[in-house]
Amino acid sequence: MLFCLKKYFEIYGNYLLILGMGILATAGTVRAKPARVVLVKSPVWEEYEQTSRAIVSSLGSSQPELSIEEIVFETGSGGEKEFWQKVTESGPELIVTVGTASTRSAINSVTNIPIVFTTVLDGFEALPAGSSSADIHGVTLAIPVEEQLKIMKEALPDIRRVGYLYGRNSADVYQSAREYTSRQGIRLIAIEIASERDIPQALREIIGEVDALWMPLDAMIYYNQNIRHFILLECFQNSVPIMAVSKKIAMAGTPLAVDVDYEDIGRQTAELVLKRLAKGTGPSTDIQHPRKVLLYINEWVSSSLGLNIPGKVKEKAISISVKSGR
Amino acid sequence: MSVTILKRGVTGFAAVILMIPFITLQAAPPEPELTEELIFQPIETVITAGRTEQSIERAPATIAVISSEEIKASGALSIPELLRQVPGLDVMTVSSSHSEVNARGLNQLLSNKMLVLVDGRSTYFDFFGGVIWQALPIVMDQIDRIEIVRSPSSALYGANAFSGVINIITKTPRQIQGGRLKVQGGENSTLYSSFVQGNRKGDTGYRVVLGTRRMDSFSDQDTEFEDVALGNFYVDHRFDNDAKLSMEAGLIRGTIWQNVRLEDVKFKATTSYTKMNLDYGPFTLQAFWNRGDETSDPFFPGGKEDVEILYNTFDLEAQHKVDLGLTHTFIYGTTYRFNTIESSLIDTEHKQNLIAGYFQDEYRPVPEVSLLAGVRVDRHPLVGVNFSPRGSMIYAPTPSHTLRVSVGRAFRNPSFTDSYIQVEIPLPPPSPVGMQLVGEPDLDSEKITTYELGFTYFPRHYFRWEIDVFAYKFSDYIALGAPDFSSGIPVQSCVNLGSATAYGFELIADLIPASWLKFSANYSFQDLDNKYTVLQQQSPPKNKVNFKSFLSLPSGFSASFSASFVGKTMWEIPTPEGTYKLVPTKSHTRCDARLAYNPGKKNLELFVAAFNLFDSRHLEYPLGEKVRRRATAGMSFSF
Repeated sequence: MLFCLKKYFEIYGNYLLILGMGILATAGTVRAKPARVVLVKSPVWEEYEQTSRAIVSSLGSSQPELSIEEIVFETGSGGEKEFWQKVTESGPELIVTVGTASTRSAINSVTNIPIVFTTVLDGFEALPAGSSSADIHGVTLAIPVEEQLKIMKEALPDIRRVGYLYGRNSADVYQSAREYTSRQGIRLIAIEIASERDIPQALREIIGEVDALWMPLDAMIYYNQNIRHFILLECFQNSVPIMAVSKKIAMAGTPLAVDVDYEDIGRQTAELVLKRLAKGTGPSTDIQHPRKVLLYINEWVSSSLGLNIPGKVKEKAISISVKSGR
Repeated sequence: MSVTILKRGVTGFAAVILMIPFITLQAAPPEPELTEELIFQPIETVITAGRTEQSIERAPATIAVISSEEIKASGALSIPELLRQVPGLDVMTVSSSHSEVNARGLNQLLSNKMLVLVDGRSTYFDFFGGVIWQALPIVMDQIDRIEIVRSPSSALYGANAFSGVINIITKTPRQIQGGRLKVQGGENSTLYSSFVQGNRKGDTGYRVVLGTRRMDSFSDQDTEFEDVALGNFYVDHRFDNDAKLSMEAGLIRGTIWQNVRLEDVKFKATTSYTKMNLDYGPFTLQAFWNRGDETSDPFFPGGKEDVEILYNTFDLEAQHKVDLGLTHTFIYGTTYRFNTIESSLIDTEHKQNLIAGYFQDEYRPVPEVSLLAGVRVDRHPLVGVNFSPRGSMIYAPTPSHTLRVSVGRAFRNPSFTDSYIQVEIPLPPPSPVGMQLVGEPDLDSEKITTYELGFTYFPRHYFRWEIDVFAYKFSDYIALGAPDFSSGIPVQSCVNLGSATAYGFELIADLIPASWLKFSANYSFQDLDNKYTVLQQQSPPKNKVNFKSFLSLPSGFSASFSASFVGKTMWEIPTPEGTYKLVPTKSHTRCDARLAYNPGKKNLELFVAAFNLFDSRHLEYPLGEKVRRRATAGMSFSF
């Protein structure tokens, strides 16, 4: 038997060798042409840059190899149409958009190419209706209501009454918060705000009633810097701790704030890109919340307010020490 | 004729505002878009260890707010000293311990035109109609803020909120969270001490306050013009159904001096209060009892009989607030007040029942516009029914501009002394008989109708300016009229004298160029056409200028400096003969300063503070004392 096999290889071995080399050569030719991904980032903000760097870094070390091209979203005289025409001419297999401006424009202008957006606050639901592509994926910056309130309760375990001011566009947030707080035995004292000018009066109405103020992202509350200042000062002067969103507002004077890790947002986006590429053809939608949420504690403000934040929460949180005038 | 037109004007304005909700207006504009740029953009630090800057976004009304930081920075020993910097307010130091406060040119001895509230409790002294600042049982360290409305507010607060309201709001237990001890002493044998302790445990909070005040006369270093001890306590509890019940009580006891008619008079006084508040959602209930027991030397030179005053005020107020959708806020309420008075100055013991009802509607048809209309009806047993309408329109085309137009009518009921005083005052020789001072039960209420236009502009959070223009007509001023010698026995009766019209404006600018530096300045102008006093020649200062600054340095030092200029004032003052004469007080400038040092430990502060720093020795009231410097030093310790 062995003799027969040996003889067989002597006759056909060279042919098998040539065939094997041919197969390997073909495979080598496929690997030499990696999938092309275009990353279009909205301009100006450092947070976009951080996220983009993390995406490129993660995708750059991925297998199979990808070709990544970074472009800043800038429309010239030809407008958005011409911009996207140039992007799609190069035949990318996927477009990554960073920030609302590039994402919104891509969804309105690009067809038949999957889009993975990232670093967009309001998520896919808030993007313009009637988008021409249904193959949209992304990572929003929106931290789920339940997660914010859970972190707040962990940091301030004694709170029983939480104040909340919200604009009329945040009614769904209010509903989610109400359901969550009722399950947790927390009373949510909320006032819907019709205009910015109602905020001082509304805040003064609830400030004596609540143990803390929850300040999730809401255009009515965050848009005007005078309003933000008013809320921070009024709460500080009345010893009411605020739980807000963004590291920067914690630096400005809220004792607590949650924020995302932009590098991790980049890594999460890169994983979504690979997942979509691996899936092959066919439209789909996958929108994710940030998986890593950070708690920032303004040490001076929290100690001035006499907050007793548990040690295990402090260990995980990031401490902010604002230089004072003294 | 003109009064009728004013009445029609007020009523018509209120009617128009009440009708506006039924007019279809455009829908509210969309909210700003929520994008990530809101959290990316840099935010200037608002709260640091070195400052808690005064919020510039404030209610768009003729309202001023003095925060606890400003109170601390001023080092002031009394509330009137703090109010001196408020635009449009007239503050006069009568003596070392006696000050009077009023708004927009209506100041007088025993000032009775502003309502003073402490946490919503009226401190109005129904006997003479006014507030005795020295008899408030509170210390400066327990005050969170003072809100000053310098326009008629009878539509909400009823009688006595005639030219405005001063609302003193104290710190809650949660704001105190610990204790604070303060001692301050200096010239004029001034010694001030206070202890404030408060905390919250679970659903229950408490606050305990103790204090003493002592100071000598400016002119006579051997006379104690104030020597009092005081205390108050507060406790609240919040129930599971969100209802909050609070109880508090306070007492002040000691010796105070007040200038009465011709000279300073020594009072031994004990005043106290007990108060209960119930807040249950939009429903609030307040009940309090004010009690005063005072004895004094004879009020009038040559008088033989000591004066005794014993009064009780029971007050019950209920209010309900209803939000009718997002655009309407409707408030209605009722009050009942019961007064009892016994005094050797009046004919007999008197009791008085006062009832009132009110409502106010705020309508916001679009976010930029707010319309407010309200009316209050008060019933007084002697005067009858008073009707106080009020309306205002606020237009804020952008977040940095606010325009306000308002018109309101207010009143002041005659006090017990106005209605019932019955006392004989000796006249100087050769008069064989004394002058009879007699009250008049048939007096009308004093009335005022005020028109205001205000504009506020705050282009940046560190800069704000405001202008308020006003005009008012004041009628039926109550005072002792000219003496009547026709019956052989001189009699001076309380009467409704004449009227006055006034106009003026206030300019205010606040600037916070850096986190450690703050400036504030204001200028007030007023011109009053007097047809209301006996000689019709009394006139308030036309020009007043205030400036203050606050500086916080990295080395632990902080400094504040303020200056106040008050123009020439003409006073009609009584003479021993019972007549009046015209006496001016010169224009004067007064400067106050405070320097504090925090030696590394944040719970200890050492400071020096001086009031009337350059010892200008000026008179602010012709029959008062020359105001001297009061330099003090002190320390405060928090734990």
